[in-house]
Amino acid sequence: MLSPEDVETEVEERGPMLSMRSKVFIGGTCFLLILGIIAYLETPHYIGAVRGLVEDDETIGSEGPVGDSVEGGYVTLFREDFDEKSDCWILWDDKFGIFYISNGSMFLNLTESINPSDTNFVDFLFGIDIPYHNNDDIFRWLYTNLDIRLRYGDPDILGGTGDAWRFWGFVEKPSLSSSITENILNFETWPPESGTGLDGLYTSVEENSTISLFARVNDSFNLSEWHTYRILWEPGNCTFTVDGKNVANTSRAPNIPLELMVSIQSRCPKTPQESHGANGWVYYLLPGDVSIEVDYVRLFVRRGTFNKMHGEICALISDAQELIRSIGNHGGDTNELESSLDYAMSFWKKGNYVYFKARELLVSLISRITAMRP
Amino acid sequence: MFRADSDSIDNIDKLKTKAKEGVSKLRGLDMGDVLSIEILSQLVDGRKSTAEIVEEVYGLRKGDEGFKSCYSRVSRAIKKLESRGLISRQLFGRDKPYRLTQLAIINLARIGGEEQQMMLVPRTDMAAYAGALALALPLAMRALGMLTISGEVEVWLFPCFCFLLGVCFVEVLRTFRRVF
Repeated sequence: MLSPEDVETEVEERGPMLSMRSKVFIGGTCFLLILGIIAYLETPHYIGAVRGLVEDDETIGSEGPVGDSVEGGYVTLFREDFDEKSDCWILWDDKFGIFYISNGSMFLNLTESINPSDTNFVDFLFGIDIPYHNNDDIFRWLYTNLDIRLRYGDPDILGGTGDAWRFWGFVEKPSLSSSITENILNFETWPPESGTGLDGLYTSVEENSTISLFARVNDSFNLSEWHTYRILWEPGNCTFTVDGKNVANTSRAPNIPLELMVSIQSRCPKTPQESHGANGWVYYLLPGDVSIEVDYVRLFVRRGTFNKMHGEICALISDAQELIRSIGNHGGDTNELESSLDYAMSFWKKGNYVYFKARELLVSLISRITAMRP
Repeated sequence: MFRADSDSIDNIDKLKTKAKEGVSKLRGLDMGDVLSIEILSQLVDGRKSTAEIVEEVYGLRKGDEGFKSCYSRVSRAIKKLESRGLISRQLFGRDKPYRLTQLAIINLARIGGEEQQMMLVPRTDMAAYAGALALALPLAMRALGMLTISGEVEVWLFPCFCFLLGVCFVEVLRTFRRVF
């Protein structure tokens, strides 16, 4: 037994002494918590990386084109059914028209008559496009096939005759201030009012300002009824179909990225040659009720051709990065998008290529664009 | 009816005996902190409250002259032993007597023997923690946008990290149990 004097040498500990149990609990919990957070943040990247390594090209995009004639062997890059409000679609100029989504369709409507004598008249374009803040075009497609189901909202348009120049398909560099130039791949209707001698539905392909196809679709389509228009655009081949029926094709095809667009204009080119508008324009009075109703849009590529697109896809991602950099939220190189949580489920890498699902990208980018606009 | 495994009881008894021998050896070494050694020797026999330890060590009961100062000395020594992970007491309940931790029992039993003293965090655990941190670093940097990792590296890096995270989790629990 000790006497109190035996322990006088005891050294006083300064400050509160935590028990080892508390130290281990606090330290261990913090350590595991930090590692757990890192694991949580990394999981989407890991899923993306595994998907990029495991998935075969041909399984990218689970849905093939679903048009009036369903074909196998395709992968879908983008689809829009207009079931809800979408930020992917941009109206270029709302001076004379409106653009809205209703009842599962997108409407392009001319809201008032346009007086051709109005000297201030500018291009009247309804565009489906992804421009960003400086009106450069961010989203372009190369060797991509299009399904678009639409009808004219004007009840008086029958038999392929239109009272506005309208087109849908791929065009090069449409912007607010410049004409569509040089490369075109689309369906278009020419109004008899234009005095050009052209009327009805045409298919048009221009490659570097040289027309390789401009052919009237002879079948009498009622444009005010629903039709599915398909443009199969592949290297060395352009094929146009309406409701699954081949209406035109050419072996010469543009080989640069083009933009998807749907347009109504109160003017038309004087001639179809040498690019739209290259020889001047014809302006004419439009009635106040001109519209296009789009049911759905799908962009797809044939299986096995996907790799041919990687260059363009990477270029697109570079563009997107430029946009994101300009917004100031991100920076860095091509891998930056992949490392962003916003894109984690939209992007994945395989080998040297970066793949993506277009819809998520479009929505996300447009959301950012909207957020940055004053 | 539940029957205790006689081998287990024998092992516990052996461990206790060895721990007692360890305490005796500590006493013989004249290491200076006599009170701490006395407290450990008291707790080898079983759980005891601070007052019971004071009574056993100093022969003073509550109300005796000098009890308070001895009590505070014992309390300070107990805190010190607690901070070293050698003793602890249960978290809940009215009476919370002190007891030796696993770490203390094992290390007391190993005193004078051939086996080395057990560290609170063994080297293998340290290696696992270091490994997990080493893998976490690039992943965290990537999450912060400071680093890019290729997909080929990612598919190996992340599973390894998760494995080590699991190992760390188990080891932290085991460490906690050693001082609980």
